[in-house]
Amino acid sequence: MKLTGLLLVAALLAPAASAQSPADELSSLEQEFASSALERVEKYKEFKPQFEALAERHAGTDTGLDARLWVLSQSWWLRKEGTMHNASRAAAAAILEEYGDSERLGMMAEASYVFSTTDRAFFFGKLRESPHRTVQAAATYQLAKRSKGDAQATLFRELADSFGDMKKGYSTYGEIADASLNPHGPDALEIGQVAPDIVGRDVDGVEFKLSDYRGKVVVVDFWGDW
Amino acid sequence: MYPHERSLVKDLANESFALIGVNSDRTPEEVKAAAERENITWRSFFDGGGTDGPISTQWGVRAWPTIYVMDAKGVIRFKNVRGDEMDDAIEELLEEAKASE
Repeated sequence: MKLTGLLLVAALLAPAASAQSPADELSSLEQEFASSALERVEKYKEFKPQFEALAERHAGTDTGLDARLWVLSQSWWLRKEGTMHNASRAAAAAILEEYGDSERLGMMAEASYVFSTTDRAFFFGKLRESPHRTVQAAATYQLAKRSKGDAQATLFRELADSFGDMKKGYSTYGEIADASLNPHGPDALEIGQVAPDIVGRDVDGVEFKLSDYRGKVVVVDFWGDW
Repeated sequence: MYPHERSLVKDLANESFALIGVNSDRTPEEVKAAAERENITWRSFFDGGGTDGPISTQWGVRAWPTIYVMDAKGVIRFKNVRGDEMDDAIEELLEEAKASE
């Protein structure tokens, strides 16, 4: 007990920033954010300037970019106030100005949900001009996902043609583009229809098919451990 | 979900029945850890490591869990049935399959 108390005092007395690496500084701030009791919108407004200050202190570094990406993706909390699009625009502009050539900007594309349609077209167009194929692919994919109709089909075809061989998680952009371009329409999944086959791999990478179980009553359960 | 599915798979072990998952967790390791912890014995397709994997995308799945129940001929007969409803659905289809043998 006594020892713990001493360590705690030592931790409190330690100079705040100097002993910490930039990455630790960011993760402390993230923890502070996570444990703050403020309501989400107020919390974001309260912490945003601190993340921005951290980004400025470490401009041009991975941590600086992480802090900027935090400000961008968390701007989601402002959507109900109608200020999300302004906030995301400012955050995205700051990222492109400082980190336009970074190979980590695929993460910016993943925050596709915070942008207005116009801003998304603009910023993702820039990302698609990145020198890095991973960034181009991520931007093309996220833009495709958020598009509709012919524009969407064109983007998915481009994704398949230009980036089809590249990994997206444990799949490839090619597989995802194919699935998007050839969805089972609602009619195909109606009660009374023969279920479309599934060909895939289990967690050990062994290929199997849904039709392997033909002749049995089958429950297919789309699930995740979350 | 897990306890119900566990008991289904156990109770129907000698029946012509299979529970097949389509899993959207991030890594195979996460799925294996969940299987160990929850005693999950049934097989799953590992769908690319996210909810935007190819199988979920092609099937248009937007909510998890999503459930389809197929009869022995592979025809979709029920969707999103849970608990007792799922038990009844499966029982009905098992009896139907036996009757047509």
